[in-house]
Amino acid sequence: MQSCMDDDYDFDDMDKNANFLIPPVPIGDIDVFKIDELDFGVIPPGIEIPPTGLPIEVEEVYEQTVESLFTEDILDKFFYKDAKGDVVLESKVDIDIMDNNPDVTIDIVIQIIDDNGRAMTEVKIPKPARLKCGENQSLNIVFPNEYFDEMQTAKDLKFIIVLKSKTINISSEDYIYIKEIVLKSSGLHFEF
Amino acid sequence: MKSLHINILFALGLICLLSISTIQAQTPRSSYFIESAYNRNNLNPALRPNSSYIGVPFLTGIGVDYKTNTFNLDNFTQKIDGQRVTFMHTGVSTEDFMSEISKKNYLSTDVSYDIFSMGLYKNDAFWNFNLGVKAHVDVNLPKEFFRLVKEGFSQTQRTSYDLEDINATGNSFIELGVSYSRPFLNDNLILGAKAKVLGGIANFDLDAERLDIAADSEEWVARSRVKLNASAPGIKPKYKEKERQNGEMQEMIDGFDFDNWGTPSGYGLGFDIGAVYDFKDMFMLPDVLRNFKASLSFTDIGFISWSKKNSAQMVSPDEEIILTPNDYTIHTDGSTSLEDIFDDVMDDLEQAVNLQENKKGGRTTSLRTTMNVGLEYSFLSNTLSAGLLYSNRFGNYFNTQELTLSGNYRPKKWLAATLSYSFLHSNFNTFGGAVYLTPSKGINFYVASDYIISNVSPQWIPTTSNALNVQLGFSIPM
Repeated sequence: MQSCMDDDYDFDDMDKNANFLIPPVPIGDIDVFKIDELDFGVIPPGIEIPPTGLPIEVEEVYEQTVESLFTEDILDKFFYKDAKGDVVLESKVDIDIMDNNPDVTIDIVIQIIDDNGRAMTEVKIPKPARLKCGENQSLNIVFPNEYFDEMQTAKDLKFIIVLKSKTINISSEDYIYIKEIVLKSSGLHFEF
Repeated sequence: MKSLHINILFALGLICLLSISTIQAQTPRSSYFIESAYNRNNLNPALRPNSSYIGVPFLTGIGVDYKTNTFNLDNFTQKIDGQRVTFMHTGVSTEDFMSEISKKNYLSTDVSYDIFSMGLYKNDAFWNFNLGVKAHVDVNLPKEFFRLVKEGFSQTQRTSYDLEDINATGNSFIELGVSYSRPFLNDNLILGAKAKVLGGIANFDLDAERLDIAADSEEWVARSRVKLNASAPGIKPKYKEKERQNGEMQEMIDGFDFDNWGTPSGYGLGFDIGAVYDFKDMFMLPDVLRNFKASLSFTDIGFISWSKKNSAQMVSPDEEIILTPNDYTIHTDGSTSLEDIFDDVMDDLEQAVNLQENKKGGRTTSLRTTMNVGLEYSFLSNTLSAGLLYSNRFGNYFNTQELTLSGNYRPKKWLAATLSYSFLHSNFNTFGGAVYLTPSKGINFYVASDYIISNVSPQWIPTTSNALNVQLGFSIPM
């Protein structure tokens, strides 16, 4: 048998990157954020939180870090360098602050923390829409694909919660519950 | 990376592609009309060599055979900007890739290794004895499977796939055979038959009758009806336990354990039958038509019975598995990563195809019967002939066919050669041939292939070829 060995098909030289269009991945709920148990936080420089329009406005900032959310494997799967689209964590959120006070506004700023504990300010996550007290509000956290290269050392996800109202009086009953998260992407990356 | 369920399914196809380097073969059809070929007795027990022979032990016949209608690198790769990429690359469009895929996509590989064989003439009768090993693997994947892998799922609306008829079978056995043939009707008709005692080594039959999956942002729903019947020495499924987030224990199949491979797992019987009719004395036939010979055979009619302790019969739960975002929780203390959740999702999805042992019992499997129909026309005092051979191998889930046209040249008793073309798998890329050197004294040698030019990558994976085979062997005339 005469073999015509075609070097053009050399498997070792082939680009073996593959992209599977996985459906939105169910991620679940995050442990409830009990406001009175959170650390106080600081709004990162360069982030503008718009005024509420109330005649008197008081602001309090809290933060909660979800530790070790990102791993090397998950970054390679969804946050790979040549991804064609963003990764979005779409979720619903229930908020109850000061007995569902309608004057309270909640702005959530997302920061990524790298494996050295540094806030990755070069990765700019668009601020989700302003929230109020209530159930089943939409919260979308968008990770733009233009920053995926920088994100390869990502480790934690920090939620900086900015409360604004006429007065703020936090109790043990006050919480933010981010639930029913699904991860949407331009595909799951792997290599043959 | 923990294997994706999709990766596992897809690997069914690619692993077969990558296993080409270990493929093996059945007797090439190019040998069928060569009168000095002793190995053609494997294709039709009524076809006898010119003389008695004894095969050189362990070198009597070694070969390879591979056939597909889809599985080669040309269909699964593309060149983009000078770089060859796989079909799963984002630069390859679904339309381009799917245009290469058939409704049913099969791959059939065969092994036939003659450890020893011997043929003896006693008056008009010809006796043939052989000891060998045979093995095959067949895989069939429907077009919809490749659509799922390439097109995937929408991020904004519900996508569903209903897959049917994903199957794979494999069989290996040792064969000890004896064939007998003799002429009738004034030497115009030769009838032959072979009886074989079979020692089963291993067998599996995987049949995914249905695999349904639908998914959107609210839920993933999966359901399957999958059966796996397998036999091998002491085969026993292994399970691993995994604790889910809610504390529930989940059992998942994690491979198989086997006993010593030194003894057969089952026993069986096989038969070949065949006939050759020479029209030379046919009454009222014009002279020009008397140079025809017609032949017909059925080989590997039989079964193997696998014992209870060497068999496992497994089924999937045939229950709907529903995954929703409510099923998982991320803890803020660092104990759950996105990767942990993703792995849990995949494990939960796998429950839809989690094979559980159904019942313990022996099983009986049939061999893959092959039908060969041949027509040969000789001229120039049988120095030259033209032959047409149609073969159909009846598989468990699909049949593999081939139609081979050959020109046979027999200038001397000790030399025969063939040039052939097999229409269904050659793709105008290759042709077949065989050479038989059979001096009356000394070592006889042959080499044969139905697809001489095989286009392969440096890793021996077929590129544009849809078929590969080659066989060679040594014998001593008696």
